[in-house]
Amino acid sequence: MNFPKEKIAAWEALKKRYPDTRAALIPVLHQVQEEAGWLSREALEWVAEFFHVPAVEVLETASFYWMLRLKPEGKYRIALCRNISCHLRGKDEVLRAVRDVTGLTPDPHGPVTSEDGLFSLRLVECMGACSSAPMMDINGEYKENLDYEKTRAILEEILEKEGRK
Amino acid sequence: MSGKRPIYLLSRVDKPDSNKIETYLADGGYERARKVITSMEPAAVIEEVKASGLRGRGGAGFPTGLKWSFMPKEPAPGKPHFLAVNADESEPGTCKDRVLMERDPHLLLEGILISSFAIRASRAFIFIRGEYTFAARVLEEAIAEAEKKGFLGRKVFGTDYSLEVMVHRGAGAYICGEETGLMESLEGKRGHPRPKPPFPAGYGLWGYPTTVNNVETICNVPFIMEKGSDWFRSMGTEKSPGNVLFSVSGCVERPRVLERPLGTRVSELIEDCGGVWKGRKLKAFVPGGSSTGFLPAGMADLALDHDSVQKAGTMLGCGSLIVLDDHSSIVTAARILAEFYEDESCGQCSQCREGSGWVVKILRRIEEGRGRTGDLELLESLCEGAMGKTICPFPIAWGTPVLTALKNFRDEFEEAIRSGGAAAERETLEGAR
Ligand SMILES: Cc1cc2nc3c(=O)[nH]c(=O)nc-3n(C[C@H](O)[C@H](O)[C@H](O)COP(=O)(O)O)c2cc1C
Ligand code: SF4
Ligand code: FES
Repeated sequence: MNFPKEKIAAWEALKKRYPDTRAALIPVLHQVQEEAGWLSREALEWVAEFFHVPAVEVLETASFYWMLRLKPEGKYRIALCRNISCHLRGKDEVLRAVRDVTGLTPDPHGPVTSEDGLFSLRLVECMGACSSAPMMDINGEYKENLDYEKTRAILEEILEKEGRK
Repeated sequence: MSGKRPIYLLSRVDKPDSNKIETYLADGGYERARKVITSMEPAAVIEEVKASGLRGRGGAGFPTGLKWSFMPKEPAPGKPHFLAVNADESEPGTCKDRVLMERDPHLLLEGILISSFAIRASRAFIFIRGEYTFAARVLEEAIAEAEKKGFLGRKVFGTDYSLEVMVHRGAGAYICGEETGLMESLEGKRGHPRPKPPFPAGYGLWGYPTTVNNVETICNVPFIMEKGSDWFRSMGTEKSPGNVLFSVSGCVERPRVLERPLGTRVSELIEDCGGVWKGRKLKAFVPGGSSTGFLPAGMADLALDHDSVQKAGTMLGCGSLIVLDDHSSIVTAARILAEFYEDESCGQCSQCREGSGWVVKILRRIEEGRGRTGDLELLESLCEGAMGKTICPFPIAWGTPVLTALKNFRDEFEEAIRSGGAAAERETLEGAR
């Protein structure tokens, strides 16, 4: 793996900010993922070396957290809240709109990605936006107070931006 | 009438640039921390917070001053004290800490300063759920602003007291909100809760004395130090003083986060959110976040303070009111929560791991009209068989919604066993399990 020098220096500094370097593991995994797009085997091995811990330990930790992606996903990652407040306020309509635009139906066991690699979809648990439900998150940005039309418009704007429409 | 209610926690959030240090200073910000740190003894701060009766806003309602008093009086050589700020906010229905962090980050930082000083902590870690990327950014900017002014970092306000505050982002796992799961996660591991004892005040982060407090709890502290414990006790009830943030969600016209005194009635909160939506009727409500279970419409005059909700058989939790109208299915709602808890069980204890899975299986078959006689009794025994028998209280969180749903809406489950529900629709949309 090849990461920019200044990034590596920042990660080294982060390790030193904690009483124990291991505490920087998840923050560094977040950033490695941002650089590399996802956490491949090579990326995990690189991180293991960086922290002087066995690679299986890095994998063991990373696999506990849904935000750490052990498989490649689409360019636009849709995380759609399936929990109670969003359900009560129409998450099914949001799901319908996502399906109608992207063709994706979620798999309860993990993310699904469209064939062209543009979109991924996964159902997630409560994201702390219950008073502005239903909601989804695209690449770390909350989209709240959704309905069918609003969801469609957001996704179609992406299609347009990507020249798919 | 809402204009007359004293509001303090949310008093700044709607102002322009409320997240900036200039606006915070213009509103008198950091004066309370300055006064405390330059002129008071830590023990006196703890006494004042004890006298206020402030109880934790993270779910358990534990008295904050008492929790602080469990910390060693002085840090032993080589044994620094830490404050871990619980900003994991993952209990379904809860979205109030986010408002404070995004729109009044300096209030939280001032609260952290005073709280850390009281427990003689030299470091404070804000453990924020990974999904809150925006709030994390706002907090980091606020920390940088405060450090520049000399309010955080070395020699705070020119005194001998130093405090380093850091934002630590989680990566998405509900159980990291449980205080020992939080510490494991912060140390860079899976968020597996630790057996207690030892308690965090004796053996916390990296084995050092640690106090874990919720964001909203800490945001109360500057006001208590400014206006005194008597003022604080003038709001709320005798045993649950102060205002609290209620996250109201679900079937109301205008869902929102409201600041109200503890002891406010469910019906009043619903009214303040424009009533049940679409002119429908109230069927059920969840009083304090998903783990507090389903209560029937007939209990809508329930006062939301710790004691009243406990008398009603559950807990105030984190003050998250979820409203269900008469078109919603309790069976489906219970299944949704059960799936959530199954997903989020950390898997260490067999009763929790297996029990939560069985609960989902049974609720699904009931919802689909494939329920069997004896299923409801089986559900009850699975919940009771796990509650209170594991490393952490998680099975109480998944057992309570099931048990309260069965107790208060048993007919609906019996009817579903006979005739089935809307399951086919679900599978085309959400995918088959
Ligand atoms: C399963 C579980 C999840 C929890 N999640 C949270 C949470 O997201 N945020 C929070 O502040 N407290 C949460 N708590 C409560 C914490 O363990 C702890 O009691 C709290 O942070 C203490 O702060 P307080 O005394 O200020 O309320 C959770 C507890 C359990 C058992
Ligand atoms: S009770 Fe459940 S969540 Fe808690 S430690 Fe055991 S398995 Fe993990
Ligand atoms: S239930 Fe969807 S954000 Fe809380």
